[in-house]
Amino acid sequence: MTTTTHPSPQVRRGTPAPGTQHHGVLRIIGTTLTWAFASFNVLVLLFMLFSSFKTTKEIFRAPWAPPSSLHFENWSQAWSNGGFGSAAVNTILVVAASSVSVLVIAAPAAYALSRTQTRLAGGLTVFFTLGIGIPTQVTIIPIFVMMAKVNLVNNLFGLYVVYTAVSLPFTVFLLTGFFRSLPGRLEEAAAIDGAGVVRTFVQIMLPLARSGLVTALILNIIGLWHETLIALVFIQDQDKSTLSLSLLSFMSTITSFSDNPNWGALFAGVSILVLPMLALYVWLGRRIVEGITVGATK
Amino acid sequence: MRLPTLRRAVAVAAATLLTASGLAACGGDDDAALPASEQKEFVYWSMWQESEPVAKVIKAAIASFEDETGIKVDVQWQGREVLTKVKAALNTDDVPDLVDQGFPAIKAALGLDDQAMDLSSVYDMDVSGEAGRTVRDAVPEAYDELNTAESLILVPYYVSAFSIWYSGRDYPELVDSPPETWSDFTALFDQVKANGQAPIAQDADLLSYDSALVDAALVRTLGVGNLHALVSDESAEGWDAPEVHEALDAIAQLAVDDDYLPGYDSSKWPAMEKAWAADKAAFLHMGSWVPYALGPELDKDYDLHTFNFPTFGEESAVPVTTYGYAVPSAAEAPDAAKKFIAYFLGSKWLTKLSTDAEILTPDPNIDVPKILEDQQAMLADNDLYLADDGIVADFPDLTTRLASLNQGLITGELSADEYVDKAKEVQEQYWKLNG
Amino acid sequence: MIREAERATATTTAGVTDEGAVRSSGARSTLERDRRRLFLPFVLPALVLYLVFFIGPALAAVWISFTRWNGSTDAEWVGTRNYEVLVDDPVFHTAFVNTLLILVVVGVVVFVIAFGLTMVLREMRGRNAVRSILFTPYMVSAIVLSILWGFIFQYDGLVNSLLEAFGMEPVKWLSAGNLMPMILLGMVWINVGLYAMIILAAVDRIPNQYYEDAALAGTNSLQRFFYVTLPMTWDVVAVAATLWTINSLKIFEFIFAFGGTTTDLPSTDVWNSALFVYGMSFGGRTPAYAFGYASAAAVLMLILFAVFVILLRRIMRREPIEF
Repeated sequence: MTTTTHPSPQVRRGTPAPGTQHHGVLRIIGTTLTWAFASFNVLVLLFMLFSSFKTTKEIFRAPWAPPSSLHFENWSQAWSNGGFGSAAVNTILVVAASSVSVLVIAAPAAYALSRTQTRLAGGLTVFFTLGIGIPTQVTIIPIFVMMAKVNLVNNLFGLYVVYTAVSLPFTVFLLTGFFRSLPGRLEEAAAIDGAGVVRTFVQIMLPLARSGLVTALILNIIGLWHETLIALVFIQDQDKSTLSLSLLSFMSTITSFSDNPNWGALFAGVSILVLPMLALYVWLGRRIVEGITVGATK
Repeated sequence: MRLPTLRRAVAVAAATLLTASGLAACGGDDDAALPASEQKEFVYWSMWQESEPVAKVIKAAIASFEDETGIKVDVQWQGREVLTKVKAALNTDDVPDLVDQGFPAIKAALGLDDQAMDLSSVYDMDVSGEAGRTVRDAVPEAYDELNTAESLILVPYYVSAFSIWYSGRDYPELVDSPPETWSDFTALFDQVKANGQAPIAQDADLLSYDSALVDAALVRTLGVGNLHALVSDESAEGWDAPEVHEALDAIAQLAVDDDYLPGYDSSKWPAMEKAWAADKAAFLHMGSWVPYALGPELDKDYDLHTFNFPTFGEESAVPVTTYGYAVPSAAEAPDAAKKFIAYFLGSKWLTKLSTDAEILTPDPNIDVPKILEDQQAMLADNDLYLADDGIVADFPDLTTRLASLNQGLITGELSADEYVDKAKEVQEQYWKLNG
Repeated sequence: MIREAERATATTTAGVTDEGAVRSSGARSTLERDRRRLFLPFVLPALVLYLVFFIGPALAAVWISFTRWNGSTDAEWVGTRNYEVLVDDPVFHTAFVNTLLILVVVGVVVFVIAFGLTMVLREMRGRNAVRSILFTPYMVSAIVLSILWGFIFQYDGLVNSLLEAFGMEPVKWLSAGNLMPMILLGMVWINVGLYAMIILAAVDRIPNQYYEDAALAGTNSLQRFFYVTLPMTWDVVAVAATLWTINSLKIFEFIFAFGGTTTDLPSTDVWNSALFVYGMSFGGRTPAYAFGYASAAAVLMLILFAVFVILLRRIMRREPIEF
């Protein structure tokens, strides 16, 4: 399906690489460095997984060795002591709902902004973009006070609303660039056929923008999945905790005068948070690459 | 579903305008408390996680408190970041009735403008089931000053003191006669180095540990209360005092003489304390949590001991941080919460904290595990002062800046003179903002 | 329907001339009119949410920046004092310089490496796997990354063990003086993946015939980079640069984790503006809760970065190249 939307990479692979003949040595060095870089990243993941099966003593005395025996109890300790069970359900619900809702709200806005050449639209685009730069630390108490007035604190629905809102500027920014890259001729063709703007948007532009929407979806999921400050301030009951919040309180007990801090369990806790994202990434990662390709080419 | 959501959205929009136009009006209602007889339930936000040993003791106490009094305790195990939640909640009418944390953190979050209740009445309360025991018996008066902001806002159940830890196996002669003065202490270093050990392990990247060391030395030369006075002074001239130089020079000299475990200035916590536990360094300046945080890594015959920070003359008070209960002024059921505080300070529960969780309680009559005996004796034999002379609790942002200087002094990047110049600069800066 | 639409895109993006373009001028004006009419309904939901959760609170923060406020009791109006003190504050100066260092140094290095990677990865075997792997640090929590960074670079860490194996003296990579460069290096490592992916994707879209034509004209690979790759990816670079500019302002966790724990702050020498805001508000074992001062710092930095973003758009704007 995708090979029809982009110039086929297969064709290119067969042709002689630009510059190969002049810079063979440079290319070998570059390739080596790239592999070294990639291996290093794999090493990071292995380090995290290895450490999650080790005792604290092993982690600090032989950080690079594979575990001498597999301490699965690190994982069960992280899971049960961190209270990750109900937190996982909460996180999946809130993050899924928010990351979808923000698309529903951001996509029409991004489409309209990208297709209108007025000063107002240009200004609004910059206006939305700047929202990415507003630090949560200074706005969180005003937001908290506001949400408390409508009884939406300590409430997963409230967290969902806030998460949807905070993801908005980035999503609008990304999708605006994305829609801009889609050719305008299609819409004109649709207009000739008598389709209105809404129908054109829903039936033609959205399907075309699918990989961009997936990109935004995944980047928002990754961001919200790891979000802690908002959850920390907004969620007060343990049974409403999110995974990253559970991990934070689990980690802070390990690193601040804890009884026999188990660093293996800390790494297990981090792995519990990271592995689902890795799985999602492996599953949908190709789409991110494609999505960003088109999305970034305004 | 749809309608309420819409209504909420409108309400949210309206609330924004309110928020933007005046946050000041959003404080909690001070007259929120119910009549004492109607307080059948209270909300407790705990600094512990449910599975921690201390939490287990508290949990058992709650269960038996509920049985005896019929008051229900709604406990949420929030973990160490509990006060961030409290801080935000103080802007609403919904605040917990009971919270716990260390005194400096409680004071910074709740100690201003009477946001925490005066708990002096709790000290007079009887501990139920123990004839003649009041809360005062559990917390000697020596601790009062360490728990006072605008009033006595904290009832501690756990105390932590910084001291110097070492192996009784390697240095048996110190067990009976620990070094008393700074020169006695540094005189030991040649022997230590001859043993193939480094004298001191210090994770210099952890600023609170750096400050603990430098502030301990400063309080020794200046005397208790004078570091606080020095920092409180807008002119910042106190840094020129010869006592300040004596303390700073003593610390700076450690780096010059290579008295730290190599790499202390270029590693990440907890590398150095782990190396100390592996016997690579002799001394570790650290709080009361050493036995349970590092104890399991020590050799079986290590024989963990500790002594008070050496004097530079007379001053020998012990720097202490207390951890315990506070009641927000906006609480709805403060009397129920106070009842629980008095209940928990019973000797039964403090004994359990000591034996099961291996922490020091303020009650000098509670038996402690052997590894905590040195510290309990140290607390009983000396005056106590609030760790860092209380400057962390009162001037948190200033001490964050001073902490970076403390790190510079310890790692040898700053001399005592450079330290003084920079300290004056940050202090003047601080008072320009807060004066 | 979808497939047809995609095929249609394929032909248009491939540069086939559009025979409908001339005939459709009437339809086009209807389209324009429709678009204008629907602009507001399309943008409004997002705009309302944005005003409520960003602009409202941000205005509140601006108001707070003129007060002294501890986050829970009454705020005290202090006029412009926070700003006056801030511009003289050496810690804020450091944070400001570090923020710019991150923006410029990390930004330039990340983009140079990203372009380098595009040249290498074009013909490399296993390129898709490598591409994916480069992105992974972006997904792992900064706490783990910094613990690992410690194990690699601390005094008895991996790098020094290797140096010693070759008979060299250990280097204090993480000493106070070296810490900021090491943190910058770590940030490059974390961020290269994302931006390389964006730029790579753009390079992939350049039809190969341009490279072939350029090669026939006798250019070397550096010339091809400047005359083909760079102009053809310019729009993407502009978007990525905007994204980096704004994201760099908020970089926080990786630096924060060099405080050693999840509670202690790192030395003020390595603070950037995000840490400054955190350190003056919620951060640390005993937080400062100086929300007025923290807000002033945030407002100042945001204004500055708004100027950057607008300048960046001006500088990088040009007619898009259709191909």
